[in-house]
Amino acid sequence: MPVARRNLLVAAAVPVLAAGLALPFFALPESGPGFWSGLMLEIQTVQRDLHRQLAAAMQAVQAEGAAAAWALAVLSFLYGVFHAAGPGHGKVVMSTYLLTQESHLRRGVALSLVASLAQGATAILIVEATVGLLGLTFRRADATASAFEAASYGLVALVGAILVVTRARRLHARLKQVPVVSDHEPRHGHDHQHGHDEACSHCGHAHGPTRSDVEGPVSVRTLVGLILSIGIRPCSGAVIVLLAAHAMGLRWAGVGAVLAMSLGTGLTVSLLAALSVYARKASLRLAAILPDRATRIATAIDVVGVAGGVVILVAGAVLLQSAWVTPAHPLLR
Amino acid sequence: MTRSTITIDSLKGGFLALLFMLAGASGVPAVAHPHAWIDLRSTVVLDAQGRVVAIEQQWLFDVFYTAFATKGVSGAAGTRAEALKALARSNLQNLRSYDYFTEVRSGGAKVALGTVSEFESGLRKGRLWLRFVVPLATPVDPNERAFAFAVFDPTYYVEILHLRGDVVAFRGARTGGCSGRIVPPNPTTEAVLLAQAMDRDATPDTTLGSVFAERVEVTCR
Repeated sequence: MPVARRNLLVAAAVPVLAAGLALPFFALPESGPGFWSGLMLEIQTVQRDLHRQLAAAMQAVQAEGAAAAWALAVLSFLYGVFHAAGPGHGKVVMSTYLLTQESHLRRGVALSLVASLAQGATAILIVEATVGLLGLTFRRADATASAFEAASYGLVALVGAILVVTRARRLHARLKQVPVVSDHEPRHGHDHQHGHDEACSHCGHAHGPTRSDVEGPVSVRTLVGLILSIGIRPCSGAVIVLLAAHAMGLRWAGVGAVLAMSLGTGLTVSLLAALSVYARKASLRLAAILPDRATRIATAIDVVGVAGGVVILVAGAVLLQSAWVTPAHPLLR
Repeated sequence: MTRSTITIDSLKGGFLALLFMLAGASGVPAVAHPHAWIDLRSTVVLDAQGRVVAIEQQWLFDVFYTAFATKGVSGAAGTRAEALKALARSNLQNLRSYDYFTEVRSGGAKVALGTVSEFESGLRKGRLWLRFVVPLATPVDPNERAFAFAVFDPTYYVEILHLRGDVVAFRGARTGGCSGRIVPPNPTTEAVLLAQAMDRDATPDTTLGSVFAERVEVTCR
């Protein structure tokens, strides 16, 4: 097989593997007949039952007081776990980001957890501010939540754009630095710091990309943007629970329930995050086995990074557009 | 060369996967799952000739939606009933342009619906209920063509289902030979894909609800 062709294949293998491994996280449509939708139905049945029990628990707290609070907390947590198991923009953004940009398991999990908790906190803040402080009607509170939702989509698009720009810049610099001419030319012009794990990079056949190649240009700004873009979108289920709690005179029970719910969502999303990071690591390892040089893999990683940024950008734009044109739900107006 | 073969295979499958991933992500439903639940009871209303003239429905809302919607509804029985009536009227007015989430089909074709004028509302064990009659624009004979209806929120924000084991009721002069079969939702992957594809041009996820909808097939002998 000609060398050039082999290299092309290797370069293509990374995004391809990442994409293949990503599929399960993109929920519904992309896989075998009926499996995912069957699973979705199952999740929805569980969610419906939990929601019923949650409502009963809330009524129990109203009747019996603090004694029934534990049941409410546990049910809220479980509701959060299953609620997050369905498809949603936060998960799409998060798993795309992690698959295409992030290689630190702990940071990935922490990001997901913080974003989920931020979602709960936003819902609490919005309801407390609109209903608690300003004394607005429930419908106004819900409208405020929708505005935050739209803002969140805008931020998603912004984060995507930032990722595209930073990754593309790096890709551009790399291509300029290392001309892709001959396969036997030793690697040069690489001014990143080298760790122990790639001491062999000078002998012409490095086994994998350097650590900084894999990590990508992660900035605090991007991470904060990511958390905000997911976190400032209050879950509309949480808003309803909070408003219901207000109406029942159980303000604090509502806050507690939503916090427990966010922990539950955080758990599910963290699991997805761990899977995404592992999928990324596995595909990188596979790529490293293939006979090729680190430069090309590093280039491929940047290409994946740009593609991931584009996916996030498009998702944000589509969601923003739909939030713009979709009128308020007839039963919430 | 085994390695290369594996790569080529994964390349083919993976490339398709990548395309799907991009397509999928661009069709992300804004609200992908229900946040409110309604227990539905339905009654098919027939005229003297045995034609369907209306679908009467009773929606029993969940506790949280009830608390959300009935905030401030309190006080003496009289004022409470007035407030509930006002709420029902405004909800039904808002639902008019959505055909009250009701889709009626005769021989597969959509049947035009009229405006609700008959409705009542109340509270039962902390849950709001709304009963209303959706008239068909013109009566339809269920014997001539297959008659079916479905009640669903196209955006799937609200899930509307009959309770397990519930039966469809019939009201009118000749209801003896009539029966309704409640067909549970059966969303195939293809149907979900199709729904998202159709959404691409219109507002997103307005057809997702129909994929997850329950349908009632009516037969009269």
